[in-house]
Amino acid sequence: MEKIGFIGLGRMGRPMANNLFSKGFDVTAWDIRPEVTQALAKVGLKAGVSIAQIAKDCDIVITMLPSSIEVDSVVQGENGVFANARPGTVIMDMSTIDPLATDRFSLLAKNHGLSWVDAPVGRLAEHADRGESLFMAGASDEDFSRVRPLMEAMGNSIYHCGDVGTGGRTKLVNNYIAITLCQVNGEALALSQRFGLNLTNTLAVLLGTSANNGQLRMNFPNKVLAGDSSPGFTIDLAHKDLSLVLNAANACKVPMPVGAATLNSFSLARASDNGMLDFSCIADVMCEMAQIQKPRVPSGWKPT
Amino acid sequence: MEANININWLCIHRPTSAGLSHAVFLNTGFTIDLAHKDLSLVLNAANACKVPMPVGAATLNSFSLARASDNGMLDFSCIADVMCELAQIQKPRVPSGWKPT
Repeated sequence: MEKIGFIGLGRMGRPMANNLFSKGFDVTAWDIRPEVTQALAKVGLKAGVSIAQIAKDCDIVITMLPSSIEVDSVVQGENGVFANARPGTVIMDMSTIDPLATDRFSLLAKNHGLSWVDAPVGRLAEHADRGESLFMAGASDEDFSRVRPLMEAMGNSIYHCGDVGTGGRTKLVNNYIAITLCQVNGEALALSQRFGLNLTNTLAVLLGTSANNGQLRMNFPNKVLAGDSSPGFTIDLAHKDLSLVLNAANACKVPMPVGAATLNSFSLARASDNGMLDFSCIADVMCEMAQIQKPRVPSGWKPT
Repeated sequence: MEANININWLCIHRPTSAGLSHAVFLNTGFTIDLAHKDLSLVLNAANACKVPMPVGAATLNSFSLARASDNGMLDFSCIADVMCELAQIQKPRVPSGWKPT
């Protein structure tokens, strides 16, 4: 059986590594915070000693990190994955990073006789906990067949988007829509509130026409509209992903006027110290700034 | 209702040959012109009661650009085509018969 190394045990990496282990994979886990590595060792995973050791020992190395800066520091340098992995090793980066960085890492991996797969995660942390994540993989056919069983252990929807680099790009397209929907819903709800409309009636109308959308139906009722600002996905992270979208769009000359306006709105929300709120709360932030009463549904209200 | 929208539109505007050459024109549900009109109403009303709508404003501008390039009579979903055309990107098309699962 192939030996799996798992680097990066944050809110997403922890349950993903756990799911691999509980489905019978031989997993060596490592995080920059030793206490986090040790906590996973207590439930039975092997505790990695160092990045170099994991690279030497494992056939597939997974990285789940905040940005391309952390990925860079894990794979490059004399103690990094590139310098220590055996030829034929697959590096599967499941972080959401700049796709141009993915292109660069993929080329460097090839020069070391290694191969790179980008397979970022769709859906939320709670889905990762239950092994119900969605994965968008960019990989050669051969590499995809090697990493597929791992993704099947961590999720229930797996898409092979194309060659290396297409996974991260697909994720950016997806997150662009999810994030701008929060902004659009926020603007609409602020207008409805200022108009003095009955909120639940407005929501029933919106959910019954082509204005209906996944954020308004699935996320808003449980979060901002219920007064729960605890993050599934923060305004800070939405801002990070939207920055990646616009950088990538600018690099290939795609105008995104709504994306740019949304990024600015999320910047304003972060500047007013609201970066840690769930991204649906962009509606609250906009209402607060415009001195509009925040939209709230009666306790227990659910969309029909 | 759909027919009325088209008839009204035809009363007001004279379609350009470029516009009519779009097959989509024949199946218009709701035009870019009408979307622009509605969004103008939204933003006017929002400005009247001081509600900032940055994405609404950016979208209105995008629809203005589509109308300026003689695409006002297309179905409003065709804003995707207009953006691709203006940016010289291949228009998104699914294989014939494709449906979301």
